[in-house]
Amino acid sequence: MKLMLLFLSAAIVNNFVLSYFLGICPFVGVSKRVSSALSMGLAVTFVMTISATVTWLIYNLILVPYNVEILEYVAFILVIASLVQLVEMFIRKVSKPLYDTMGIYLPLITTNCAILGLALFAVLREYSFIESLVFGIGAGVGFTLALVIMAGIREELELSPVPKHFQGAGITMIVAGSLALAFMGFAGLIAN
Amino acid sequence: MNASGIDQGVVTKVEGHLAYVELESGDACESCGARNLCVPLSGGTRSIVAANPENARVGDRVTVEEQGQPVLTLSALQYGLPLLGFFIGILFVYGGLIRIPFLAPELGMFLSGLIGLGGGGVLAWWGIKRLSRRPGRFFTVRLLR
Amino acid sequence: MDINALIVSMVSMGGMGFLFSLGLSLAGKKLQVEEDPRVALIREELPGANCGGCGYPGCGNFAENLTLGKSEISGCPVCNQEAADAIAAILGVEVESRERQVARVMCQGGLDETAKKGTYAGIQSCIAATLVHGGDKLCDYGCIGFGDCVQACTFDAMYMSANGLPVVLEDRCTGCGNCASACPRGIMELHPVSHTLFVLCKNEDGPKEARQTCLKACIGCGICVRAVNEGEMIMENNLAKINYDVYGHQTVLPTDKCSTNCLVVVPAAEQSSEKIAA
Repeated sequence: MKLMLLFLSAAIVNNFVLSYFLGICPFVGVSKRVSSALSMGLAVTFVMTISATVTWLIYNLILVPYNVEILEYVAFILVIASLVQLVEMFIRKVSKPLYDTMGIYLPLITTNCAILGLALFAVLREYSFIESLVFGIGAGVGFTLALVIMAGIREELELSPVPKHFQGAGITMIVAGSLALAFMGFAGLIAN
Repeated sequence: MNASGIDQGVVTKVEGHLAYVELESGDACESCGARNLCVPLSGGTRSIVAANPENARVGDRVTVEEQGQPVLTLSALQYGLPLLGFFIGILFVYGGLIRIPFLAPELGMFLSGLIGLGGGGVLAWWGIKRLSRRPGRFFTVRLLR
Repeated sequence: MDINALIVSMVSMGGMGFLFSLGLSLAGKKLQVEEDPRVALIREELPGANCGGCGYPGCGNFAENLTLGKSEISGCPVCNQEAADAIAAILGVEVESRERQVARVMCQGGLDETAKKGTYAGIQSCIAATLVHGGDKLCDYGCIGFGDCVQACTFDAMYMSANGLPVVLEDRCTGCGNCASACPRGIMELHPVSHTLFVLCKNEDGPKEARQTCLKACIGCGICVRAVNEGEMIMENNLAKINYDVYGHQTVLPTDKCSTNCLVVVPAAEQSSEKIAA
């Protein structure tokens, strides 16, 4: 039950994009089509889940026993960067079409603050290994959800008569803001 | 940001009903200062093979449409399967179905998860090989007017 | 400070870094996408300036696309006939000889010829200046004079003259086209080296305005068009254009008819590197 709540909390109530405002770059950059938003969401979920567990291991099995918790930032960045590189190599080898559509966004995941944020939150809240795993999946699903909602709205917007001065970035920001407001409605349902 | 929100490119080769398209840098990179650093990293220009129903010729500027369904299937295979494997691997140890001696329990879970991940990866590889046999099903080019 | 913490952090970070890099390099070997051996050979022959004139980020990408048959050897505007032949030999194809291209400055409106409409004190680049009321020159079509093209040249083949116009050193120019894409006004154009007759103006204003803006503006009088054979030159938007497909390169020149001296023959000698010494 606790894990279920944790999942819901990470996915909806404390959504990474819409309540913590982490990972805004892909949220705006890759939310033009629902299909690519879903693919990106899947990729981020993948990286988030794996990095949540790996960073947990590194923090609790290496940094804590040797009293070098101060190195968490460096260590986490190291892990995330290597992980994304590995994923990128794998995708490049295995599926060319996916690499061509998504390849350009993969380096973006490396520098995505949502992933580092996830690792740091997990440490801060002293999650157990399984909790970290669920937290990672939840955060990834939440990210995907936000991206897909945004992409759906933007696909509709393409066909709508947007006032000239709001076109492009302007209306995107307004939509993102309204979405964040809507998600604020969940605030407090589940603590953390 | 282009109006249609779809990648644009130039046709470099036509082969039967397929067109080879050199994509211009995607919108995510458009305003990124580090673009020049990371483009060589990710293999330079992006070129794709796409279906060519409108008979675009070499040199034509075209928009490339993603066939949502196949690309989704592809990414579900690519990311979803290994992730599922990872999850199942961890659950096996967590649920006590497998016991790994001499290791911290978390490390055991992680290792078992990695095995699941590898298994999922191999399955995905196989699935993608099958899916990719027909080039041109993932993208379609439309002439730009 | 505890020396132990220092050692522990060094060892743990170093160890992790080493492990990850080991993993990555192993994976890099294992998952390497096979490269055509010809790519390396062709890269040897290419100029290696990574100027981007072919449209790819660097010579390596161009070589890759050559082997895939996605681009032609002539796609590289820089490499000479010798290199092109060598690449053709590697690829096993014939290469048709092509004419060398050089960049031309299609504007004569330097500081002496045209006035300034104000003082621009912003970032010293043409692109920045065009954003502020179209630059500080009176002419809205001509060279802005901050030398973005000279900056873009990777072959040291351009410099800014005292008159505030870029000059191309023809013998150093490789025709990569970097200057052409750097210019926000499209003043830099690539032309085959045999083209010598040019309308060195881009001004599309009417006669009166054009004459007021610049001493060497094309005012659109059309006298050159009437002087040559039908179709060799045309008037478009108050601007004379030469139809190089029709125009024989060595026919009678209507240059003396032009009252503002914007239709000129550019002698090769004028744009040689001797001038840099002067």
